[in-house]
Amino acid sequence: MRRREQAGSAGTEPARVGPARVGPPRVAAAACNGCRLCELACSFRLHGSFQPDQAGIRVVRDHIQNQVQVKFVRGCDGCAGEAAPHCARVCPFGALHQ
Amino acid sequence: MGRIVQVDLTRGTCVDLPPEPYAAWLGGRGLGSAVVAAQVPRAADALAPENVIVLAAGPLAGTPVPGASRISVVTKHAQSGGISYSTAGGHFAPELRLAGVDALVISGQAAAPCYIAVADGRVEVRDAAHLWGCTTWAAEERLQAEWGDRAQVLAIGPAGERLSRVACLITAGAHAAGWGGSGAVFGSKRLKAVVARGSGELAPAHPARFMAAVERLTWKVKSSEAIATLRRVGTHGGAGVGGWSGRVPTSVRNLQSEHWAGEKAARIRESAYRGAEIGRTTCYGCPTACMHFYEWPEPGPYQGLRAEGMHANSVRGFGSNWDMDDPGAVLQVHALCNSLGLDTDGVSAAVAWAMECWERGILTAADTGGIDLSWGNAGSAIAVVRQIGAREGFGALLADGVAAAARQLGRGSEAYAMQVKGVGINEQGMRSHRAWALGILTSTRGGGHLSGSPQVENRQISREVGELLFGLPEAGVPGSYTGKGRLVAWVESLKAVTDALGVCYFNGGWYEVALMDLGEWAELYEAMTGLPSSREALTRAGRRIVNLEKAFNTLHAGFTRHDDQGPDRIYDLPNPDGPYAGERLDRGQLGRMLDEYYAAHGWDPRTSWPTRPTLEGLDLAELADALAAAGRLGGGGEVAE
Repeated sequence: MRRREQAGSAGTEPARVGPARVGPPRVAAAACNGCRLCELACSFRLHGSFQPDQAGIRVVRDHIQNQVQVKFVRGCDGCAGEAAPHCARVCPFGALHQ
Repeated sequence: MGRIVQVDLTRGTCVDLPPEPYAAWLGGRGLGSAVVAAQVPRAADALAPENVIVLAAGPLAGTPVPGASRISVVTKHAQSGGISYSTAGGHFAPELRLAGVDALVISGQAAAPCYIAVADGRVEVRDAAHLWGCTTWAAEERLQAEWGDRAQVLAIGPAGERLSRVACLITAGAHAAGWGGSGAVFGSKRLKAVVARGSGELAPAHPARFMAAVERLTWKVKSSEAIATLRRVGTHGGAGVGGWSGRVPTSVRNLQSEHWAGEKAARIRESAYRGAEIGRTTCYGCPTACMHFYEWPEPGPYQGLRAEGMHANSVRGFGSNWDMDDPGAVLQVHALCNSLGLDTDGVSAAVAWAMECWERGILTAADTGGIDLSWGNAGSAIAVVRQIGAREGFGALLADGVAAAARQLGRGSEAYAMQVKGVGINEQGMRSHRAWALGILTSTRGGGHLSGSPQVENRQISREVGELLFGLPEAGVPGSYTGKGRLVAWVESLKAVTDALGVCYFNGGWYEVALMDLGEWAELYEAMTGLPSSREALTRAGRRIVNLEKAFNTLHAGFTRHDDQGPDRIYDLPNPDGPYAGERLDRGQLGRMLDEYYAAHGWDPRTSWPTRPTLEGLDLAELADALAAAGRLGGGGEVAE
């Protein structure tokens, strides 16, 4: 089993090793535009409602400096056992990769 | 529906209003217009304590519905005296709802500068002495330092503090609720900002249905060619100066013409800014990302300047409308408007008027304090915008908008004020696009193409699609007058629904025909709220909102058919050149379009006023009574099918 690196790792997708992923997806922070759909998808999976503060991913955009930070919190397991993490599935900008 | 909280700044009280009476208005603009109509006295000026300003999220805000992020700002219009509504994107509306409040109703006047904090269900009025004098950007930074980096801020800048009637509210740096002098209304109440922070929860009544509808809509948005273009080049590269391969009409030199010289347009078209783009930004939950973030790279006075969200109106308003082809200067004025809290359309119209008055010798250096207002003079334009924001020097004349400036100056300058219902306009296509022009002329908020102007006419949809969508093959034929009155009345209702749901017009049907199906929006509304809805119910809700606003305008501002005509030059001064050379609006044809438009709404064609049968048919009998008591109820009123 392979744990993906996070925080803007580049390079090609390594071949899948083992049956399932664990841990958060990789982040291409430069591609993130700060829409927070990932927070919504994550909280909906966890709680059946939209509670961005209760999501396993957290996006903060500084509107003045045009900087986005993406962090994983609350023990994100990368939607272990599912085909792809929900946050990566809904990201419109290709900023999250399993 | 969530909580509606009324904050009385005179007394310092925060009281919940019962939400039930407002449920039929959906939320957003609908709810805001209903509250303003119910609470604001006829005699009250927009800047009096008796005026109220409503910040209302839509019922879909804070969910993954694409573009459901807009906050509606509704108040009495500081220039027209009628209704004003605006919507701003960003992240404010979702945060307000996550803080437990759907709408804030702000009334009265504080004794000292204050801001309102809405945090996890608590609504408080707080001291803003440390924020007074700040730009919108500095106010946001300071409030986020106090309330956390997830807090969202809607603030005025110095222009609002100085009661400029073209001042606006700004959130997230570049998202404006621009219309109506809402910044001056905040300023008159000594209200600097509203900050929202919420860690709450928004739960769909029918989760599986809701998510299925969201997925369908998201798929449509992502597969739309029109929205893909919007993502790539923004409205700047679409309907902005130099767009449509140079065929886009654009207001030139204060709307004297609608075609700009190709070499000038080339200097400020979207592709000219690509080297400056350092990123994209998007509103809450939106996959489109139409906001481009620029940092000006070229050596000179604008090097290092950062600004985002420069859309078509800024480029037209500060570019062709001022004959200013310096791309850095256009970006600088855009940035100044955002940081000072000024509406770009209002500023464009006022300065364009001043430049034309200068050209004609009506204004001289003795009036302007020595500022040379020659067309396209970037240094002067920037200086004047700074003065407007500070209400000082020559800028003080322009600070209340073009109509007030022309009234004050006189000297025959009124003829050069481009305004509708007292509201300055920065528009295009008024001589060549019939329904587009009519929508600007009839807008309840006094001008602007984001009411009834059909985007389908710009897009030139085929005769088949026009027939399919509207039963009108000519819908996509810009020069045709046929059926355009009926089309505009329909688009006004559609747009009212979009605004009431708090959805962006780009993702909400106004912009993309594939998203025009109100049945889809009814499904989202019903699945989210649990309240029954349908295509017919939403259509009726839209008509109720437009009728309420029209009645408000009739009662408060006394507008008649005459006020739906606009400036003389769109009739009398044909386009001299360009793809639409020789085009102008024909007065007789406009009259026939208006007849058809009033008939489609069920209003009196002689006065334009709403009628009793129409209002009663929409369960708005009390408005008919109020209009009758004022002697302003229209006669007749069978709705034309």
